[in-house]
Amino acid sequence: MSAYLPAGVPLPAPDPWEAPFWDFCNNKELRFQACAKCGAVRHPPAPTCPQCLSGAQDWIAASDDAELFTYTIIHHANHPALKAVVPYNAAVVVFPALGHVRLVTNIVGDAALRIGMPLTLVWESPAPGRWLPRFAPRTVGGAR
Amino acid sequence: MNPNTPCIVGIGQTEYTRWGGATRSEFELAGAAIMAAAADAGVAVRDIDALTSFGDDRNEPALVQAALGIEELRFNGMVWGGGGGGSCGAVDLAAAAVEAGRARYAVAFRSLAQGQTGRFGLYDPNWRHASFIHPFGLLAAPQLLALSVRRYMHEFGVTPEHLGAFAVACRAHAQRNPAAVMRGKPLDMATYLASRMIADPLRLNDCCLETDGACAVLVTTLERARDLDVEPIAILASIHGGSRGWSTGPLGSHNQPLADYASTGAWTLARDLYAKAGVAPGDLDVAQIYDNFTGLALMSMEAFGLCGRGEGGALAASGAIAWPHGALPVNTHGGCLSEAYIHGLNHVNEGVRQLRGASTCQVEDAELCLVVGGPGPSPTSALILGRV
Repeated sequence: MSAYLPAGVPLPAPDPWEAPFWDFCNNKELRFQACAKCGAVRHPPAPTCPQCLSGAQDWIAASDDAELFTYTIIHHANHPALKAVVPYNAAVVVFPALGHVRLVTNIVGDAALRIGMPLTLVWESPAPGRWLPRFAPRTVGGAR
Repeated sequence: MNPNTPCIVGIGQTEYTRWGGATRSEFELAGAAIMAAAADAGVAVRDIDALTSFGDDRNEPALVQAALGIEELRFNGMVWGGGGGGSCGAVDLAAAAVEAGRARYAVAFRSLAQGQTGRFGLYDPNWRHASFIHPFGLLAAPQLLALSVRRYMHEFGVTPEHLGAFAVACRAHAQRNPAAVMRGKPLDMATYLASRMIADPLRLNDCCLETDGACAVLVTTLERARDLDVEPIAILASIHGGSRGWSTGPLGSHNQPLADYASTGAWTLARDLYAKAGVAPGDLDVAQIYDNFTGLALMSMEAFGLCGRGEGGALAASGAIAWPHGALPVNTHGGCLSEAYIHGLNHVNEGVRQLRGASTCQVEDAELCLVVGGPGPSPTSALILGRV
């Protein structure tokens, strides 16, 4: 199974309060934590809502309006698993409909990257049973 | 001036080398810097009674006290958080201790021998919020902060030449500084632009050094300083903290507040700092700005009012930050980019040298110096130093 980054890149090793995010991912669901009381979306996950201090949580599905917020092209690998794949990109994706919550990820494929470009979610498996959310360019209002 | 005003009366530092170059242990370097600061002030080492640090410094006060024969430790404290965010914060803690009468001679120190303990540029599995960044190949600060710099350049039309102007100015200043690791290695814009990409848009010469060395700063009250044979440098204001929503910010999931994303987030910290000192940015004679990466230093100059928002690049390119002709020389020692990476405590030492008239890039009659700690994640910190 080919993925954007090779095996050996560190996998998520979440703190307990972050674990549900990755449990959903491993089920190929991208969900962000939201306050069950006031609805505010927060990322990374935390035990309390910074708006109202409620500890009650929902996990809401990511909206389908992802855009490229910023990116870098990494030329100097600082982990052995990445030495053979430079240059590779890393990106921040923003979801305007979810309070502009942002997710760090990679953009798959060879398209030129442009801040503001629309993106669509793709799933890649770096190890059996593990899934990571990555993104690909999204064609707006037309055939792909 | 209030006799209780905290003042820096001693600065100390060891030799600086490229990482792995230290011939002494990190612990020995810590003690050497502290002893040098005490000697500079004319204070007996045993009379130091408070120790502060930052950046997860490994040299605990208990060890330092034992090694240096400190009689009585009355206060100690560490600014949480790795990296240089707490550089001025450690001085803030020392100042708070003497101002509150909890200690008489407080030393803020940082010893960092990366050759012995691990380089900041390498993968660290214990990084905060690692799960949200490491699986995507973001494994060190330049990669994470390149994301912020790219957005900053996009929003404000900042160019590679703008970033380069900051690096070139720091390198030029380092050529006059015998302590600077990059002395003897001048840098011009063409060489900067040709330097290899690390994490686009950050080139090699946008990134700070990795070095071995230590610094220390001795703080006491103005009243006690009068009894010493040294010109006290007043800490007119010191501050450390962070604004809502920054958390690990650009060194984590990049969910710092949207409107302030392409900034260091230090707007309210800067406002409070100037208010406490009773001065304005236009009053400054010189500034030492933490420069982990050029782009962050440009944003930091904006947050601390040296120019308008988005104008940091133009300010650097105008020559205003370059000694001797610039209106407000910045990083007159060479900074983290070209002097040494002692997590910015070396910037505090340079601020003191400027106000003593002892810098190798001396600003004539410098009376007021801004020092800013590491930008981005919370907490960050800053000082305004002034002649008494």
